[in-house]
Amino acid sequence: MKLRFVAILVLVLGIIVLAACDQTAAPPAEEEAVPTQEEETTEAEEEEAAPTEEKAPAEEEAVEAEMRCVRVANSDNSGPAQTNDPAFHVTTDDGFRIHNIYDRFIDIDNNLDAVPNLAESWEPNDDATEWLFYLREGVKFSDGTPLTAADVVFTFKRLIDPDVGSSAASTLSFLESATIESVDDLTVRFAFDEPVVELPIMLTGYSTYIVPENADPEVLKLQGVGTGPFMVDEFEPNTTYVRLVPNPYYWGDPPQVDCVEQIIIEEATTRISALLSGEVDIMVQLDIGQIPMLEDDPNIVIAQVPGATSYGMPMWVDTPPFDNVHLRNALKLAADRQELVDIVLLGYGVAGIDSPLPPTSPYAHLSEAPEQDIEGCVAELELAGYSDGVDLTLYTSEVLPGFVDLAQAYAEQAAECGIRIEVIQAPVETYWDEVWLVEPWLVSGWSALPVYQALTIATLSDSDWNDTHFYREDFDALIDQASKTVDDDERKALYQDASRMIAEEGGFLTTIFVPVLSAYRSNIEGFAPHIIQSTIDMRGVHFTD
Amino acid sequence: MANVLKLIGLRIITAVAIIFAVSILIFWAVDVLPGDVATRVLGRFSTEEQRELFRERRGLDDPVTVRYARWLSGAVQGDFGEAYTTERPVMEMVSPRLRNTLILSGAALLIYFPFTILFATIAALARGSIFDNIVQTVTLLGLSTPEFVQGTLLLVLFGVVYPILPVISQVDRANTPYEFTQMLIMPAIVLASAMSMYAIRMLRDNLIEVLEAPYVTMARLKGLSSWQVAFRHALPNALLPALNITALNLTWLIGAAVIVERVFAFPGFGSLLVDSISYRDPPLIEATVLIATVVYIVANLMVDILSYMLTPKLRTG
Repeated sequence: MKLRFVAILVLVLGIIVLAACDQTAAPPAEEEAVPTQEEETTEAEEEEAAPTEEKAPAEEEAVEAEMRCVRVANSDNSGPAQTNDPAFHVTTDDGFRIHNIYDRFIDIDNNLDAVPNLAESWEPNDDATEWLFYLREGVKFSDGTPLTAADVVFTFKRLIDPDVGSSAASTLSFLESATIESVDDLTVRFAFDEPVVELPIMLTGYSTYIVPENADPEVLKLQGVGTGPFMVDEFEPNTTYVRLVPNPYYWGDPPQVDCVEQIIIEEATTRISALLSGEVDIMVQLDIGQIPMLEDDPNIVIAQVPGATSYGMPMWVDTPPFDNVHLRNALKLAADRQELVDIVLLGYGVAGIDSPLPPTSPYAHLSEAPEQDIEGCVAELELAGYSDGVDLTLYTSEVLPGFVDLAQAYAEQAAECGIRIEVIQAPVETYWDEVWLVEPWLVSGWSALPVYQALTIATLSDSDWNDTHFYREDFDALIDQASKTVDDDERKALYQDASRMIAEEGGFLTTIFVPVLSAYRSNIEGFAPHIIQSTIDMRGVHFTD
Repeated sequence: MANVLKLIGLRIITAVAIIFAVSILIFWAVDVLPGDVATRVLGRFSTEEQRELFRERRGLDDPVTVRYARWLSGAVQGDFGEAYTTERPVMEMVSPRLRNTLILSGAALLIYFPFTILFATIAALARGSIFDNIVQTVTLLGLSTPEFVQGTLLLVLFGVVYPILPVISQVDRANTPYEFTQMLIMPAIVLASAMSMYAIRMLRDNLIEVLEAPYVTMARLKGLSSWQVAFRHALPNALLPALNITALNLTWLIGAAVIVERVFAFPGFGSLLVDSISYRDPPLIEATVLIATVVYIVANLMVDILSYMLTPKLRTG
């Protein structure tokens, strides 16, 4: 009897304690708990370090409590390889810090075009074998030293130097035979043997942030010395927390926040929970599947940059039955692209136009995707000789989120036209090795690329990755002509012609473009994601409350 | 008493010998990892000269025994060299993580001990009652629920739905001891609950067995209350097997708690251990695995010593 009473009493007390566990009740009990832990653990000597560590921050507490940081959650972690040196950056967590500590020589906008940054303006000579870049005046590094052309020259030479071993060396390999020199303190000259019509966009990328001449790599790695709006406060590699503070020498508008905190949270549920509870202000890498959790919350804003990654169904145009242009047209007309965006991307995306370029690109031949046209599809099928419909096989895999949904949704749409598609789901691990470039029809994707690369990476006759077997001399000639056209408007028209040729005669069935997605709390202003996902810009970000 | 001291001394010597043997095993295992260390660390774009320089600086061309001796002599002084990936001293990377995990473990143990003893005792004393059945069911449910699920549920419940605790336990961000402690609560509860599910069941079963013993009946007949019987006579005897379980749990705390660390974004030792293996950084792997091993051996040692001291037969003999 007595025992049962005691047992019930304990249970009830337990429930009361849990329920009453609010801030005012907790502190006294918890503060006492901290020192007594030392008696309980087996490693007594290590414990002695703990109370002093906890007291030291308390001294700075007064100052820190005043600072209000914007807290940004990242999902990628470079681990022990973390660095603040642009030449060696591994993934988005490095990219975030680097982008805000340094400035790019030439910046890149959401259309993947070159825009001025440290290079204020530039001009080619008549045949684009020589370019002059004029630097912005009055720019200083975070140690107070002024930016000069010598720093730019040093930065690029360093990136292609095999002794330095930067991962950027391969994309900048075209600079190896170039002359890179300073004409004066604010002018840099690049000279080539052949015309390089699009040099500005080729000079911008993940690593092309300007570092001081003869900078110590160790300093670059741990601290980073840049011309950007922020500086690193404290940094040790293999950390999940870094604070950035404003750079007093920044040439642009000073940051509107006291500090920025980068918090790496690898677990997706934890990341979203932190955003929902208000513990982080911005979450940079949002997956489509996470949108329903955040959509309805009035305190959360979902931002997107369209046209980042394309999802399509490339087919070999030299292989039956896809070598019949009418069949290809039928397949293109059967697609209800907007419906595919709604099903696969929950409405967050843009319909594709059968070109590597999104309709939002200024170089695209169309600004809106065509609608589904079943009647037209049936007519094309008849022209192709398939009045009883046709049986086709489409490969897919969950290598990228939404690939399988896309195949299945498209198959249903095509069925309305009499195209019977068997969808085969292949294993993820071997998809890129054993299905892509092996099977004649599959689901595939490309990430956002500047226009020249986008139009050539898979469509030139000698491309290693020509996944539509699009071997067209006239197309190659068109691209070649564009690469020599110095006038921007003329070149743009040529690119549009190229895009049109691919769309109308090629095997790209590019149906949807996946956006870059971010989410942030509604009391944040001035933040927008960028089409290059690791470009997370904190300039201008501020709280509205 | 001398008997006990002799036993303890022997036990300590054995423990040290085991640590040495394991250190050889660890060093050798890391050494035979496939692939060239220099290429792994410096990357695909490195030149052969750079790799040669890398190997020379670290004496990687010396024979295994020489390298082992060099490593061991540093290790016993607490110097594990520099990590290859970061080029920072290993101990600089390890100490803050180890400290965090030890504090978290301490918090978990603080919850675990009273919780386990209390519920096991009441369940044993009230054997067969509703309370006992509840304890049995809840512990079974707890055993079957992975820590990952428990952690996530707790996080969403008390971090988002009823936001009374911080979601992220990134303790480097804590500005005050109060904030630091708040961040410890949920991960500590998950760790404590996972450990205590086994321990409560085991302790309860042992207690029941002990409570049937003649000397317990004798104590009751003498007029002692149930509580006094439980705590003064039954518990010490039932505690031994439970202590063994605790020793196993302690190792689990250090290493396998990486899941809890991941869910709560806690910068702990478990994550460091796992990361060092993903990044294939030999000095880091050697140091973390050795430290984890030492903790396990020391924990077992202490449990053994404690059980010698608690065993009356040994004391009087």
